[in-house]
Amino acid sequence: MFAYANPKRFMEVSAPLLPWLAGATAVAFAAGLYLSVAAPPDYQQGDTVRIMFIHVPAAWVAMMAYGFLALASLIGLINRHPLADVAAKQAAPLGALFTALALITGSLWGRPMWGTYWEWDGRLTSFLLLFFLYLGYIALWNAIENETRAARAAAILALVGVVNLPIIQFSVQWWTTLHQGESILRRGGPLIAAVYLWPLFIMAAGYTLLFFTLLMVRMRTEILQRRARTLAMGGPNAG
Amino acid sequence: MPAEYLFAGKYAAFVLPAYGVTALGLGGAIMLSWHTYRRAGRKLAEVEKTNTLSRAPDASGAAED
Repeated sequence: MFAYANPKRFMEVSAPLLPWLAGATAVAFAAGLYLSVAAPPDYQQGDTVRIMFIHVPAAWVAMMAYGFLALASLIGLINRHPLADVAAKQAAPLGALFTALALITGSLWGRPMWGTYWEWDGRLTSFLLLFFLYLGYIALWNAIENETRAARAAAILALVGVVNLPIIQFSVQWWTTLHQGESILRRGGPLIAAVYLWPLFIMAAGYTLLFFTLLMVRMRTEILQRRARTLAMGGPNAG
Repeated sequence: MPAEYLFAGKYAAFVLPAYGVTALGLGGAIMLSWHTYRRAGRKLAEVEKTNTLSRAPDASGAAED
């Protein structure tokens, strides 16, 4: 499998894929946004329910991005695979962005529903910790000049931080929190009406597609930059 | 589509900033990523061109040897 995952092969495969991925992202966002605006106000939450369509997908993708980052870090650490290091490095800023968006939109949803922008409960605090893990990972990469050493150190931090994912997921069950319990991905099916579930799932698809589109662009950028650096230094493959 | 849906009724002060911040964040990430990608492509082309020129027989003087 790794034979097909070298940077050169990645550039060849990703080039024709990128426009399709970007197109699918645009379609999913257009449909999701239309359905988000067209959905009726909730009988209890009123129009604030519309924040759910951007808050929940941001939170899902923030966690998925960390899982991806940790997996890529593990592959990079064990197999010393350069493409895995590139993938992990480029997933981190995107994960940080989605985490920040989930925190901000959640805060704007919390104020009218809970009466406060912030509460130090299990879900919110563990999610804030996820944001700091992303920042720490990015800082570590930037602090170490040698790319190989930076990748190793950052990978270890990423793997240690994985413990936070189940804490985020189960925090609403383990502790009494202001944040609502599981209402979508739960045994017995979702507690949300279909009229809200469809826009939510389509927006989640849009967010996921956007993450992978941006990741692909950023990975291609990193590979181009590394190639330019190698050539500029008259590296072994220069010319 | 009724206008009150679009403007989020009495909760507009929370809904609109939430969508605004999201649009700003995601839009900014798209623009920044694309801009950096294009710049990296141009930079690589520039370096490749410089390398090709510096390795050309005329430039190295190899043709005269």
